[in-house]
Amino acid sequence: MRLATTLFLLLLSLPAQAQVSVITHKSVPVTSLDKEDLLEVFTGEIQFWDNKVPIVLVDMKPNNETKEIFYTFLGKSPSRMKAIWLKRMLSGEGDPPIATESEEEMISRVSSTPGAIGFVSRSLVNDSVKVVAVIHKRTS
Amino acid sequence: MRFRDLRLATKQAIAFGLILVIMAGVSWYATQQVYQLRKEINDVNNNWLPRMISIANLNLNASWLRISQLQHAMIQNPDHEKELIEVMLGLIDAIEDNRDTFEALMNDSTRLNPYSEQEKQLYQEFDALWGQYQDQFFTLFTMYEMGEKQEAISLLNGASGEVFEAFSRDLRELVELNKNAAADAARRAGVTYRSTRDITTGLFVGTILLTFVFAMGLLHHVMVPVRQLDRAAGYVAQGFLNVELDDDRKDEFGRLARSFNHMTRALREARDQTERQAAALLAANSDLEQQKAETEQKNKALEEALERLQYTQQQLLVKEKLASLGQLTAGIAHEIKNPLNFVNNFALLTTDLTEELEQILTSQPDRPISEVLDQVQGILSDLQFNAQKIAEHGKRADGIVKSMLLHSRGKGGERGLTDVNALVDEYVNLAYHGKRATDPMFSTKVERELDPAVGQAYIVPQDIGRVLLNLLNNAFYAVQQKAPTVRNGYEPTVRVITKSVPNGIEISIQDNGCGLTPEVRERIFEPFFTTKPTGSGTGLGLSLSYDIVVQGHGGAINVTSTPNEGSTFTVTLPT
Repeated sequence: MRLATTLFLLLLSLPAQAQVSVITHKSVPVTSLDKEDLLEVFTGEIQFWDNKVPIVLVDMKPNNETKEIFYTFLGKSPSRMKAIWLKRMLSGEGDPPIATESEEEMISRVSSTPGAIGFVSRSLVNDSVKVVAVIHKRTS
Repeated sequence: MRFRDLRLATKQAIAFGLILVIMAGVSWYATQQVYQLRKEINDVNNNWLPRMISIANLNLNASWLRISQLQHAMIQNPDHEKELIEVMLGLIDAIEDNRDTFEALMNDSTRLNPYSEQEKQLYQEFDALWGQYQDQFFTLFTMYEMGEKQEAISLLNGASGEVFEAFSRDLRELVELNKNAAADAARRAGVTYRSTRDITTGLFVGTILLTFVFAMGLLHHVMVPVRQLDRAAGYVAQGFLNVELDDDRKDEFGRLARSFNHMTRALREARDQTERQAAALLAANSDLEQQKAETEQKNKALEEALERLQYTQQQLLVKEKLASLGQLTAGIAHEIKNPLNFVNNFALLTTDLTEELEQILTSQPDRPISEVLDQVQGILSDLQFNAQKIAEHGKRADGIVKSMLLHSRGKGGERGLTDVNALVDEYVNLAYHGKRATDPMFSTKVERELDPAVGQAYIVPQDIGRVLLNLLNNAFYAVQQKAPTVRNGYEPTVRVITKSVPNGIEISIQDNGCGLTPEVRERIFEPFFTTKPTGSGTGLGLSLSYDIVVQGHGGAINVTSTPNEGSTFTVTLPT
């Protein structure tokens, strides 16, 4: 695990040469997101897309490399994310993310759920889902 | 080089340098230890305590969460529920914070005492279990929302409870491990502190003792030679100059000792020298005393001799005077003889004439009176002539006697303006006649060249006259000496020349006699020096003449001469 983290840190320019892609349902009106945006989305701070469609978070259950890379990029541990989602759930603010059992399931879920956003290893991306470019800080 | 031989400053520097080095070492050691201690304390503070605290809190919060969950499952009151949910929210955050802290500490490889494998493994186990617990939590609340309370409760008590027990066990172990480790670290810090304290104190005390020892040592090192020097100096001051200090050291004290020894040696030598000099002085003194006595004796003898000489000199002077006087007298006597002869002759003639007159008057009475008168007149005129002559020559003799009287008064003569030419003339006559009186064979031509310009001089005429006499007599003697040695044709001549010169009068007496050799000429004015054979003459003539002319009249007397040809004596008198 540590090795992976180190490796990731070495290629921490997810935007440039990411092994992990952020994917959304084809209807999601977003082309690019920066780290802040992603965090806001995944921590549930933003709950709706611009087109008023509710954001549906899709998480991966097994602690694979993809998950580790993505979480490390976000800067939050899985446990912390879970805690955030738990709190949101306890406060009645929202539902916890959908937990998929595999990357393939991730793709199928995302492609079939409007407003869904998730993450998957790049190599598995197909055209059933939309890929959102992850950029460095948005200059707005 | 032995330690003893180093310079004092060097010794001091070494000793105290050593002390400094030791103290520096002790300080360095203490500092190092303090750093070590600080590190250990920091370790406890920054490492163990946070770890322990975070893990203990984690344990506490997790347990509390569990309790809240259980309570939540049982409550009915919506307000209570709300409260509990608030609590749980807080706890969830707290737990994540604890986890972050603990994991941060775990992942910080710069820290001392990295987490042991056991710890990491325990935490990993907990981590995985916690993930499960969280998932179960999600499930529970989903069940609550869907109204499946019974199922929720059975999950809570069942699987969730097992998971909880499992991770709690891990947590407790972690707490225990950390607690022990922290305690160990604290204990180690305490040990470090105590050992440092003891060692540093010991070193410090040791250094102080060492400093003291060194100081004492140096002091002793310095005091021993100083005391020696002090004692030695004391001896020297009392006059014992035989002290010697050991001077084999090469440091300042060695030098000092050597200097001291030099000094005492010099003092000894000086003292010895002084003693020798004193002895020499004493000896010299006694010699001098002796010499003084001898000198006094000699002086006395000399004085006596001087007295005798002076007496003799006086006698000689008197003799000379008498001699010159005798000469004068002879001269004068001769001079008188002449006029007296005339007087006698004319007196005799007068006697004869008076007898003749008597005869004329008494014989032949019948001679005619005119005849008698003629004869008487003739005789009377002869008588008159004779009387005149007798008076004339008598006067002459009188004059001569007067001058003789003048001379016999000796040196008491008065100074006065005197006609020099007249004086010269007079004394030339005296000398000439005097010589002739004593020596009938004497026949020297005497020439006079008296400068009419020569006037008067302020002189004692008798004295100058004596000088002239002396010179003339010498000239006569010289020509007499030459005469026998020369063939025919030698005409002994003495010339007397007077000349007027600027500020003075020159009287020269020139002879063509035997002359003087340079050696004789040099000594001619010396008293008692004479070329005449012993018994004739005192040798004082020229010396007296010199005195009279030079000391008596401020003039000069010089001589030039050519052996076998003649001499010239020149008297210069100032006017």
